[in-house]
Amino acid sequence: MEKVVVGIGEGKIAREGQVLISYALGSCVGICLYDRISKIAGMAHIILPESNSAVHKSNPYKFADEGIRALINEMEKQGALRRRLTAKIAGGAKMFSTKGVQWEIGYVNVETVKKVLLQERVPILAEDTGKNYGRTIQFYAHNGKLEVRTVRHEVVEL
Amino acid sequence: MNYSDMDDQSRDILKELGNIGTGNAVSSLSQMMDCSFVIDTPVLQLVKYHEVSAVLSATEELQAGIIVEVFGKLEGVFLFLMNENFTETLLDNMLGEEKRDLTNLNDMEKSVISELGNIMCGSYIRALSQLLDMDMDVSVPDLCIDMGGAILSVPLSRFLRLSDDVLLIENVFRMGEKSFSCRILFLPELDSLTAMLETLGE
Repeated sequence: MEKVVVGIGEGKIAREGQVLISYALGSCVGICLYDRISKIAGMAHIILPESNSAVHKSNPYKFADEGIRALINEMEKQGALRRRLTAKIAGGAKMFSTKGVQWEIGYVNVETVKKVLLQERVPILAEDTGKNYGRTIQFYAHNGKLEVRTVRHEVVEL
Repeated sequence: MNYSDMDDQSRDILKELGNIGTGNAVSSLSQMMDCSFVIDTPVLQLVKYHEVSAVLSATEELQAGIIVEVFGKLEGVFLFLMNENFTETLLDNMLGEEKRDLTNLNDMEKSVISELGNIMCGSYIRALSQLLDMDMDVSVPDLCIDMGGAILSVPLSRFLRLSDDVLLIENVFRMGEKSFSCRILFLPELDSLTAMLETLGE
């Protein structure tokens, strides 16, 4: 199966026969959208919650809010239907237990992703978020299955 | 000023700061462990956020990461990343040889690693503080043993709010062989960077 690697702050689309991969998500969130009829899958690897919290905004896929909207648009352009899209999300961990608001970025990322998906009316079918460990995710375009690998736990299938 | 506006002289100054800091940190470690280390040439990297994972050769590789925040006149984040071999050797050295599972360490083992990070960061900061004549404080060290890329994403997300580039002053040191390596990453805030360069430029 052809692997499509989605780097940090990137968003990519895959079709049947391809698998989308994001390595080592920490506080970042992997957003996986799927249209089960056209079998078009999309993945965004976002780092920050909202674009208005940052100085440089050129790339939408850095942010949860703009990243989700950009991914939906891109999938529609390639033939996916917006009303058929469903979402699975993973990541948003709190890697270090340090207190302090500025280190709560993982939690804020997940909450923002959920809020934006709700606004865009994309239902979330499954999630593996929060906790304190890193995740590598693989999203299969032929069936919309999401695999989550970690260093301490068994592989989770969503 | 932006990170990318820096001239060659400023870059050299920062590399040298990294060298001095690391030299001090490594000599503390060397005394504690009673063994010697090889320090590689420092690297000053201005990395675009999406290239940061390339800093680590394997983003999924298990690493022990210790993060320390620096406050005061100089602000930024220190990150020590030790690979599996290095961490195991360190624990064997301090606590006696034993078969260990890095993904499941006990409190004693974790506290040894954190304390080591604390001492090394303290030495690094003290050297910078003396050289620059700036007061600095450090936070309590925090430990995370997980995929290197996931650990690195934490300081990264903090810096990306302000800039698309992250400045890394990176020093790698090893115990003999290449496979036993530790890296010290220092990520100064932009304001602090300007202050550091101004102080040294005078």
